[in-house]
Amino acid sequence: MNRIWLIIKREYITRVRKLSFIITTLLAPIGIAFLFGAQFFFMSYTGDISNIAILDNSKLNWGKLENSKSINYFYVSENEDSLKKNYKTNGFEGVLIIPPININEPSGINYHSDNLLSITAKKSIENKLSAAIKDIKYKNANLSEDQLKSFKTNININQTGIDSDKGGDTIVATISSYLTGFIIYFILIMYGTMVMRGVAEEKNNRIVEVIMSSVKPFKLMMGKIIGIGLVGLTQFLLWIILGFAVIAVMSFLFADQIAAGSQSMVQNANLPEGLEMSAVNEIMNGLAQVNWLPILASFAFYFLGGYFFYAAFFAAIGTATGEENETSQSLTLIVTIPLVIAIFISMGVINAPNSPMSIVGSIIPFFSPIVMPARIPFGVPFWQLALSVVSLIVGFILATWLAAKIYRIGILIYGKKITVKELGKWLFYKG
Amino acid sequence: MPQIELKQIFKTFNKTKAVNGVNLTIPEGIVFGLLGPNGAGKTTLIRIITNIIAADEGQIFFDSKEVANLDPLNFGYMPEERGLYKKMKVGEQLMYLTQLKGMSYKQAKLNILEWMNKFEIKTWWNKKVSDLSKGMQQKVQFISTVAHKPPLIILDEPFSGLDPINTSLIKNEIFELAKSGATILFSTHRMEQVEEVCEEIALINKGEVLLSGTVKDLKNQFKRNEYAITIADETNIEHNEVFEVINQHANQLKVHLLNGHQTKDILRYFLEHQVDITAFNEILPSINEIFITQVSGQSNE
Repeated sequence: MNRIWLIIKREYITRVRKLSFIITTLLAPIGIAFLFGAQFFFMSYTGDISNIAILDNSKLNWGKLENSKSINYFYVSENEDSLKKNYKTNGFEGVLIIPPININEPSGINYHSDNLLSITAKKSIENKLSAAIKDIKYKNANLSEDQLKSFKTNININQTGIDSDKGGDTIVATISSYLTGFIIYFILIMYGTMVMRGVAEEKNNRIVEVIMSSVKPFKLMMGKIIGIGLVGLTQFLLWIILGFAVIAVMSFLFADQIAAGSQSMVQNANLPEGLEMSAVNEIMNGLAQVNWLPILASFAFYFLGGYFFYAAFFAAIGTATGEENETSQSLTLIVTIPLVIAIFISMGVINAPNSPMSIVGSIIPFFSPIVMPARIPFGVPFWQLALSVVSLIVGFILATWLAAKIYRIGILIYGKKITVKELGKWLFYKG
Repeated sequence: MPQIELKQIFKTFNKTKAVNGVNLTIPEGIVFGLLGPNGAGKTTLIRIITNIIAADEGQIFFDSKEVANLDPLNFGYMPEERGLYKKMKVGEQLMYLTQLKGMSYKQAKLNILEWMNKFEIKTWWNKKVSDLSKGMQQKVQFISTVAHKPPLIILDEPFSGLDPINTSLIKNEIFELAKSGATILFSTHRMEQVEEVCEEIALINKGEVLLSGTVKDLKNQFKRNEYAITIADETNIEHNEVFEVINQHANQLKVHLLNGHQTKDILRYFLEHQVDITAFNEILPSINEIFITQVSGQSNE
């Protein structure tokens, strides 16, 4: 039997069998489900209802403010000074004082309280008042109810031509950009350090010398990288399966709460009336419209390519990780920096998917595993995709070749503080 | 026919000549000792033989085939710094290491079980290595080295860190393996083990072979023609034309045979002088003595 296969098998089986693997595999989706659940809960939780007294001296015929979910408005007609003094004993959170105002230049509206209004409450009151003033203005212009309604128009730009004839959607693209970028980032760091620790373990318990007497160092290194990569792939597949299972169960059990939650999410976002449902629909439509195949395929490719590229560096660092953690930390940092930069670039991608920075970032192998999947939902010209794929493949072949040179030497060196300079020198050692 | 042949091996690390033109032949089926002080280049030489590192120059042949081209290289190798996967189970670990040497699953299992039976550790199959004592780990390590029936077994300081029981156990196994046809190459800086175990040795210092040959030949080569003689009573023995007396304590004599005479001339002298001999031994230099004179001789140059 091919011996690299034995190595892959060992690396894979010893890790997959570990309790910690089973636990993270099981708990991660539960954790994610919990996070989302918590998000829904907090978003639909509006807090205590606060009562606000309104002293309306404007003499305007603009009706009354309607109570919202978190604020009840009470119109009072007291003396301003005594109200300011006694609002608390009367059970009010604060007092909104509207002086006589000019509807063209409203000013002097004052909220008196020893607590600041929350930003959403402030925005909500402001929006309500300005809507009320707008209504007055419409009425002054003698417009009919129908005419008023006809002013309200929802506009939704439909984007096509990006990805063959399928339509695209900015919101969905943004979300999937964010998600894929971050997921790949975490996977690369998680499994990269796993490779590093595996190499360091073999070096530190000295078994590596025995193994190297029967297997070439390159095979040992590749066996480890491939084996751990398969662990990652397994975990990922299990997560997808478990994720679907959890979502299915959750949506079955908590269908009502989720619907309510997502509604209040939209409401809290302060969207103008009438847009709420269409925003939800838009996302749903967008999700259905997205061409998932290229996104998943590119995710798989950049996950694997990025993993092989970075795992090579982590393996090389592993050889320099002797008994002391110090060196490994500083060296890990060097490898992590490009990953962090890649995350920053991918955030820029969301604003400007075709900026020069995004394009260059999605082609350089150090960044492309994170940046390119973030760009793909927005549509990428074929030549850029091809260039990125080719450079990542060339990149990981080159990285593996360099890492093997360092690995071969470093794995046998003990009792010496290993610096970056030293690692560089090993590249030029013979044999 | 030599089984292993090293031809002009050179290896330099950062301007230090670790191995400097080593030529060596090791015949089949013997226990061969690679001796030398710490830092002499033994481990480097062993790593070159086991293909772990490549020599800068030179070739190594095993059964007339170049070692660098052998894949899998199925030599048994126990490095000085022992190591096993701490969290793996004994059985799995042995299976893994033995299969890596190119042995089939079935055969590997048979051989490992045979060895575990022999060492009476069959019940350890499912134990984790980290749960074993150091002495127990040494047994596992030894099995991992020999379970694939290697034609050549290389042991780097095999007895360092072994308790006395394991030392004699492993020593016996080394003899057994050699008897069954395996060639055993082991390195050590402890000379007393060499005389006990090795048939042939090579003495290495500063990356060069100082001497090599059978233990017997080397001893003869460096003998100083001295004899220890015990006589029946405390007769005072004088210098004479056959030998000179180096010292005498009561009935214990140490004499030096003069040039042009043979061992039997000493005996004839005592016979003629009617002195009874109760013990008669030629004093051969220990490998340790040879080693020290050679190494210090070299460093004086």
